[in-house]
Amino acid sequence: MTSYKTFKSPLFILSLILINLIASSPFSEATPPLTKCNIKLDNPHYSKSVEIRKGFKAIKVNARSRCNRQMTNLILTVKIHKIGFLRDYTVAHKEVKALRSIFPNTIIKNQKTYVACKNTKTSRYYGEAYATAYIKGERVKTLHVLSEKTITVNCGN
Amino acid sequence: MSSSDESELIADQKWDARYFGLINELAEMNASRYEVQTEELLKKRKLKIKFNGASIEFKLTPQGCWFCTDDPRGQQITNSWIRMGWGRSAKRKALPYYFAQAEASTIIDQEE
Repeated sequence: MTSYKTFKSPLFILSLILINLIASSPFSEATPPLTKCNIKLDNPHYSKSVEIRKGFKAIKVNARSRCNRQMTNLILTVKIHKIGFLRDYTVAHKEVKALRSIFPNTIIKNQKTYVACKNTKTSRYYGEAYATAYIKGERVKTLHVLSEKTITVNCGN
Repeated sequence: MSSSDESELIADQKWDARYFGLINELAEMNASRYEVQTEELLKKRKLKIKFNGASIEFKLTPQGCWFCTDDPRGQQITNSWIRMGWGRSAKRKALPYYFAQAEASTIIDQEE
């Protein structure tokens, strides 16, 4: 009886009409993006170079930005987050700002983001990257990209 | 793994070797200067240095440290923050290596 009442409620009918309207609207069709700009973010990984050269372990996250349009003032930001008990917190933040004009399809890398392991406590890390740039005088921002994997390592910070 | 992925991986490893090698070299070469800078930064919470024509500003935050670079000669600049911990001793331990990291970033940014 109760379910019948809910089904017939005016709010339910109104929401059905709205869903139908949105689905049939021409605006619901996906518009292709105007530019082919993307960020490729690697999964967090142990850096062999740090281990060999410095004798300690470090977790590293690399990111690459590529765009088919000419850009200026590109800022590619990479962060490493550690999963905490109550919340996640940032352990490293690196911004690479390109001062020159970037030609179409040039790859800009941010390879400097890493976090040194202070102890062997089991911890979980993931990466985040985003970029801002000017394309034809207009400021554009990318979405915040998270690394595909969250890694569990014996690397406390 | 495709050949382009493989060559990218090799290039990344070469880049890492150069970057971390440079940090290592600078940390060993300028150990005493970095110690002085560490004490000054811990005292004043802000420090501006000149390196290779660039100006690097360090700022302490409760849990870590920022560095911001201003380099008219560079192709790109790097700004960074890392978590060091709340205490002064944790910062004292991490700062010398962080100074080397900032200077290595400046050198690499001027080359790229």
